[in-house]
Amino acid sequence: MTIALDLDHVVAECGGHFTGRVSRQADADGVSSTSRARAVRLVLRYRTEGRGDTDRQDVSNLELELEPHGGLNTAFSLPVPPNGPVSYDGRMLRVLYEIEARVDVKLARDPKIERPVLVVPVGGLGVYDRPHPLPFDPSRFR
Amino acid sequence: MSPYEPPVDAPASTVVRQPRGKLRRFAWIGGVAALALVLFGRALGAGVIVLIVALAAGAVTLFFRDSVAAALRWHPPVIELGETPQRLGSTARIGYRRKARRPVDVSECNVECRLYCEEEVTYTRGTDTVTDKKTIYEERTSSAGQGTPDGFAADLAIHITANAGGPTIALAHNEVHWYLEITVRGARLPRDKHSFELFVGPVLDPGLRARVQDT
Repeated sequence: MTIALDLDHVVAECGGHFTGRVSRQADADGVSSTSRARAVRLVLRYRTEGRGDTDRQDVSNLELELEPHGGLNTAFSLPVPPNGPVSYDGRMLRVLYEIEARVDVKLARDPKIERPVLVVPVGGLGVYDRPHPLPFDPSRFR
Repeated sequence: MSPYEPPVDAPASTVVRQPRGKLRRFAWIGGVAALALVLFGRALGAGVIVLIVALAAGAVTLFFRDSVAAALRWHPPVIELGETPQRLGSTARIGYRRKARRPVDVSECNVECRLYCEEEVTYTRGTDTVTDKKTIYEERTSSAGQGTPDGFAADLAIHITANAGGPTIALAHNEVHWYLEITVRGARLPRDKHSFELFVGPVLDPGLRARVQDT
């Protein structure tokens, strides 16, 4: 029943893509075709933290239909907006990005999983070291 | 990877911005004062009202004297940018031009430039909406200007650092902006101050990338 989200890279440039695989085990024995899970929704969103009121926006999303038995194992690609905002860690505000995978389950709580990601300026992969400190090593993903 | 394209609605960098907040603040004070005079004017008498209005007009004139004097003799300044939006880590060449309303002999002038990056956040406190601003990066440069047949001009070089601040961010309650504040020193030159907003795109200058990789 658990959902797994594997990202190929956790840093992307504006105008680029986050790619990876999302998988979900089939219900029961994998034969049943009566799964209450209907789809997996992938969302790339930003939200702000800090002194100001929170800004939050889904910048791209994907809806992946599940197999009749509720299983899924597929690659995905989520586009990053070309004009930002980029991930930012300032004095009064932060801009944080995350990818969320949520299973749409009929008449039940939707399980979800989240992964923090970074969006850097165009040409910034492996060079741009802000926001400080980077929680990941971008050079690994060049 | 798709090539970077500047946003269609990016603010035009050559638009003159008035000193931020000053006029709006004075408009508020003036409105409240006028309302108070309307409400309580009868109790004060005509002589007192005339005195209050004269004092207020004098104070406003004193406060804006440089701006008023400059506006009477000079057209608003214009900056010309080589490229827009600006790139993080780039050095931008900026042309500053200002025309006089009537011929002026400008023999010597110095253009002082303050480039700064400012965070601006808006939040709700009770029933009030509060805006806080903080300057997080600042750099000052100056350049000698030259007289032209219709005024004067100067070429400036400013460095948009990639190591402080960030690209322009314009969200509903959280913003990062870059401004260029320019003042001019010299005889017979305007003594006002103008701010221009620079749009810094989320793109790193290729030259900076090459320099970092070389090290």
